[in-house]
Order: sequence, then C-alpha cells, then structure tokens
Amino acid sequence: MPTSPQKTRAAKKQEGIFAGLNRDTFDRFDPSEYMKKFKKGISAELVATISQDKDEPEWMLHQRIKAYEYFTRIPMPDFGPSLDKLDFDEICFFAKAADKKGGFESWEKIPAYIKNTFDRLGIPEAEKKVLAGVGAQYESEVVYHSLQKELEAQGVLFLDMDVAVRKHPELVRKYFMHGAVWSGGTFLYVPKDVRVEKPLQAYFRMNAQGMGQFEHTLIVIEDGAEAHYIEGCSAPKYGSNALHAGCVEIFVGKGAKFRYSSVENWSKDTYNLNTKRAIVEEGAIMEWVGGNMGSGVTMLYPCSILKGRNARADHLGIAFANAGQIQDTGAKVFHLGRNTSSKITMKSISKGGGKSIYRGDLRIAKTAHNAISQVECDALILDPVSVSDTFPNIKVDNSSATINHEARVGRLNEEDIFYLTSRGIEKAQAEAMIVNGFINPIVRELPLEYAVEMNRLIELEMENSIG
Amino acid sequence: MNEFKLPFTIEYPRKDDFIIAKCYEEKRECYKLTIPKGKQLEDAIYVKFRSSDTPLDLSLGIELEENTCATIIEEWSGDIKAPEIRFTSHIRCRADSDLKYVILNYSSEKSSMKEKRTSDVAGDAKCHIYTYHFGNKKLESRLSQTASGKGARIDTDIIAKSSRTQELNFSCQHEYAEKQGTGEIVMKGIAQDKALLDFDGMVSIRQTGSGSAGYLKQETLNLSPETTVRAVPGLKIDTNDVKAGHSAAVRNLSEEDIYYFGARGIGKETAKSLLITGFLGKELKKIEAYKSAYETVRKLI
Repeated sequence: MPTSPQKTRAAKKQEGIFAGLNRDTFDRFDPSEYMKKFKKGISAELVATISQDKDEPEWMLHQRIKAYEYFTRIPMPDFGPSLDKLDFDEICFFAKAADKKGGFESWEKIPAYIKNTFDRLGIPEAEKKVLAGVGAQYESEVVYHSLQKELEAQGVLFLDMDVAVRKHPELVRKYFMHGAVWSGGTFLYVPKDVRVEKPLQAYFRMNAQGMGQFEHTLIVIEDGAEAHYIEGCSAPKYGSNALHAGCVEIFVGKGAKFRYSSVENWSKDTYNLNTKRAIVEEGAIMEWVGGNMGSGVTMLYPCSILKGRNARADHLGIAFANAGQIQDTGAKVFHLGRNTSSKITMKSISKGGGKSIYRGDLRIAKTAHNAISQVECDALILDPVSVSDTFPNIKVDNSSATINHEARVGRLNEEDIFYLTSRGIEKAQAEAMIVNGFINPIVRELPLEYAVEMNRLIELEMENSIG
Repeated sequence: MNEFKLPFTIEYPRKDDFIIAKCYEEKRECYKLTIPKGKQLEDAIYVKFRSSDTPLDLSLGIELEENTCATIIEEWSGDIKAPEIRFTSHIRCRADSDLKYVILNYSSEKSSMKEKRTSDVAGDAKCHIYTYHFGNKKLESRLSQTASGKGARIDTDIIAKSSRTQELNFSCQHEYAEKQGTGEIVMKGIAQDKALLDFDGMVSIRQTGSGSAGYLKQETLNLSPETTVRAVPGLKIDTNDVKAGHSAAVRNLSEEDIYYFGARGIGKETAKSLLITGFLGKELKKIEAYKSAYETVRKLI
C-alpha cells in the first residue's frame, strides 16, 4: 500500500515532534522521593483512602468497595501469559507526585522535573501544533488538562476524570463502570452533532519504581458527533515489576464516529493488563488503532459491542514482541444488532525470542441478522527463536452471517532483501524497510506526527540487528 | 488366522497382506493392524464395526512398516446404536510409508461418541486422514497428527453434516516436530436445524520444525437460524523459516446463487440441494476411487 508523499518525506527526514525519540526519552527516570509517603499493596483501607483523598461522592466510594470485593473473589485469568511473577504486594496502587487537585493551569506551573519529562516526550509541542486538547498524567494523578476554547463553547468536555466525577456526576454516574483503585484518566464528552476536527490526546507516564497506574478513561460521543482521541504512555525501566491496568470505556451514540488510537510504550518490566470497551449504537462507527511496542507482558483485547443496527467497528493493531516480551493482544467484537459489520486487521512482529499472540473473540448473536465480519492477521517472525501464535474464536448463532478469517505467518522474504541489497541498500536497512512496509497499512491510519512516532518506535526495536 | 472375535469385520481379498493382533491395555481390549515392511497394497482394507446396542470401549492401532502403502476404510454404520462409544486410535507410519485412512461415520443418532485419534508420521512418510461424519447424537472428536520425521506429510480432511439436534465437536491438530514437514487441515461442514457444529483446528510448528509448511482451512455453511456454529482456527509457530496460515469462513448459501438457479427454472429446494452437493463435492471426489465408500457418502450428503 503506498504512503502519501507527505508521510514518506517526513519519515525519511525524521522531522516532526516525535522524530527525535530515543531510548533515553522513555527510560530516564526522575527523583521519586514522594513515594515514601505511599504504601505498597492493595486493601479495603487503601480503596477508602483513595476515595477520601479525591473528595468523592458516596456513590463512587460504594462502587469502589463493590469492585474491590469482586477483585478478592475473582481468580486470575486461566488463559494467556503467566502472571505468577506479578506480586500485588510489591506494587504501589496509588501515589501522587505533585499534590494538586484538578492539575495545574499551565505547563509553566508544573514542577520542573515533571514538565521536563513531558517536554522530552514532545507533549506540550504536540498540544500547540496538532491537538485540540491534551491531558497528562504522572503516576496516579493528572497534572495538566486543556481543551481549545471554541470546543468548550460547543459543550465539549475534556477533563481530568477526578474532576469530572465532582463536576459532572450525572454524566459520569450514567456511564462509569470501573474498579476499586482507579485514579486519574480522562473524561471526554462530545455533545450531539459536534465534530472535533483535531485529535485530543492524553499521555500517561509512570515514573517511580514498583508503580501501578489504574487510570480510567470514559468517553461519551453523543449522536451524530465525531472525535479522535490518542493515548500515549511510557515508563522507565527499573528491573522490577510495574503494573498498568487502565480501563477505557467508550459510548458511541447513533450515527456518531469515534476513533481511539493508542501508542503504547511501557517499559519492558511492566505488566500491561488493560481493559478497553466500546458500546456502539445504531449507524455509529468505532475505530481502534493501536500499537503495542512496550511492556514485558501485555494482555489487551479492545472490545466493540455492536448494539445498534448498521453499527460498525474497525480494529487495527500492531504488536512488536522483542526479547523477553509477550504481546498477547487481539480484539473482541460482539455483533448484536442487524446489519452490523466489523473488520479486524492485526499485524505482529516477533524478534529476539519475543512472543506475539493474536487472541480474538468474535460472536454473532441470534439477533444480528446479516452481520458481516472480516479478520486478517499477519505475523512476521524475524529469527528462529521467536514465536507467533494465533488463537481466534468465532461463534455464530445466526445463519445470515458472513464471516471470514485469514492468518499468515512467515519470515522476511529473502528475494525482497536481495532486491534491495542489490541496489546498494545495507541488509539491516533493507530489513527495516520491509518491516516498515509490513506495518504501513496500520501506521498510515494515524495522524502524520503519530505515524512518525510509531515508525520511530519500530526503528528503535529493530536496532541491533535482525536474526 | 484369527482365533479371537473382532468387534469389526475386515473385508479384503488377501488376508496375508496384513497382521491383526489383540492385546489388553489396563483391561481394555486393543486391536492392532500391521502392514509388514515393503507391502504395497492396491486394494483398500475395509474395517467395519459390528452393530451394537451396548456401550463400546475400543482401541485400534494401525502400523505401516517401512516402505509400505495402504488404504484403510473404517466404517461406523447406522446399525451401531451403542448409547456410549469410547474409541481411541493410534496410527504409526514408518519411514517412506504412505497411508490413506478414510473414516465413515453414519452411526445412529441414539449414540454419543468420544474419540481420540493420533498419528505419528516418520521421515518421508505420508498420512492422509479423511473423516466423513454424519452420525451420533453427540460427538467429541480429537484428532492429532505429528510429523515426527524430516519431510513427513500429514493431511486431514474433516467433512461433517450436523442436523436436527446433533452436537458435533471436532478438534484437529497438526504438529510439525521435524524439518520440512508439510500438510493441510481442511474442516468443512454444514449445520442445519437446531444442530451445533464446532471446528477447532491448530497448526503447530515447533522450533525443530524449520522449513515446514502447514495450512488450516475451515468452511461452514450455516443453513438455519437456530444452529450454533463455532470456528477456532489456531496457529502456534515457534520458528521463522516456515510457511503457515489459516482461514475460516462461516456463511449461508448465497441468495444470488439460488436466484441464478431459479432463473433457469430450478426450484429453491433443488437449488439448495445442488449447492450443498457442490460445497462438499470437491471433498467427496477425494475418495471417488473407493466405490463403496464413495457411494455411501454421496447418499448421506
């Protein structure tokens, strides 16, 4: 698939906000003296303390306690990568780096060491150049949140989740369903028929050792509205486990269109156990675009529930599993309404002994007449010690459905490499070019700046040879 | 030749082309059919299980010694009304052997069956298993083939029709343990009325199986609103020098195709019947050479 000349040029010249990203950008950590004030482990007391600290209404405290009770009863997953080494007693479930309720009014007012981190990651610059709004979370709390004035005037809400619970309890209570220790995250509300042209972004950063981040992102796109939200994340590497278990809930109203993009780059000692779900109403479109590059263990299967007639979901994803990584990613789509359609396109790359897994769950309910779904999974294995697995599950309860699934696994084509090297391109570069071409159908769905970021992250993973 | 009563009959013109033995494994009756080294059998060996109204618990071993060739057709007829059937089978294909193994099951819908079939295929040997399954009220079938020698070829075709309230569950795995193995799994079925049809397939290439090529194809025609169809096409690939893939499709008959027949004066029901025959026809042709088996399956379709 050809890229636009604009994108190709940008990628070649390595220009743009995120083009200069390197390992140090993500791996450098800041002082974390504040951690002395916070205990590790999870308990009912901690759940109550978080709620009290946030000055939450009583209904939210009850919801947290109920979720904690479930947490103590429900066993760990019996599928996917082993979570045996994940010790909840060694994870800090709640920590504040800068104690400022509702975040700071401007980047300038944020403590320098936090601001410097986001500067390095290019977030303030992206806010100026390409975004309609931005949120930045550091440890358990959001430190900054902004939205363009004209969108505020149209009734769009883009807030720190803690603030949304206090300021808009009626909206949050209607849609919110999350767990015991959630903290931070983003609330996005786009009123009926409002189109947000530029993307909005939230960035989640974990800094301290042994940290856990449990942000909640709640997005409500009312009937006929449109928006694009981008999420980025990273953490430095310490050699001990960290945990990210965020939750994203999306409600896409009738005829609305929403795209959720994420570029995930947690450190390779992080367990990234995320839950993402969208409920899609009549004639609405939900698009997921995701890149999973980081984390030691990822378990992430964005879910679309196609509830209304003619609802549609597109899932596009890339997973890169390098040495020591298990990328267990995929998609879940539940077709409930008539004439619903879905398309899942997943690409994975395994290198240096890494393991990438596609895990899918596609279900067609009895009520989903004339549902159509297409699933495509492509995997590249770059050396003899790496692994790629595909575990799709398709269950059909309606005879009018049309389902197609295809998957291919292979290595880099020797002929392609020969073709490029015979034209004077070095082998490593030729291999990187082929890998870039392989993921291009997904990367090109991102805005230019983020496509450059994704390509840069892939380049960083490809460094130090291919087997 | 045989001094013991077999739970099946064997139809084959020359009894000295193979050896039948009986043994016990933990008080369970086991039978073993061996094709001696160098035998190249032109005719198919028919293994027809006897009618029964009581529960069955059987085990059958098949061994093809080096440089042999055989076709074995295993038949479970409608006279088999055993309420419960437990069956295990193990096939061993030694180097340079070539086995075609056809399973025809149209046993009574009064019986429930659990079967576990395995094969172990040595270097440069071939094993092609064809399953045509129409019988049983409830079936749990687990079939696993292993290409354990360099250049082994393993193929499995599972053709099934699940009607009325039948519940047919098939699980099929191909494992490539040595270099340059090849093979394909084809799972093709029709589900209608209130039936359930479950295809669970897996192509697994171990780190030692470099140069292997494995494919899995699942296709299901879902003909009634009250059926349940499940397809799980899996891949487990532990090395990079491989060609592996799978595809799965679940659909109903195309209205356009039915219209095409209608426009030529062919009624809807006849058109459907012709399209179904066409859907399975290609798979049926694979056993055309074995007249008796071919005719049986054709009538069942």
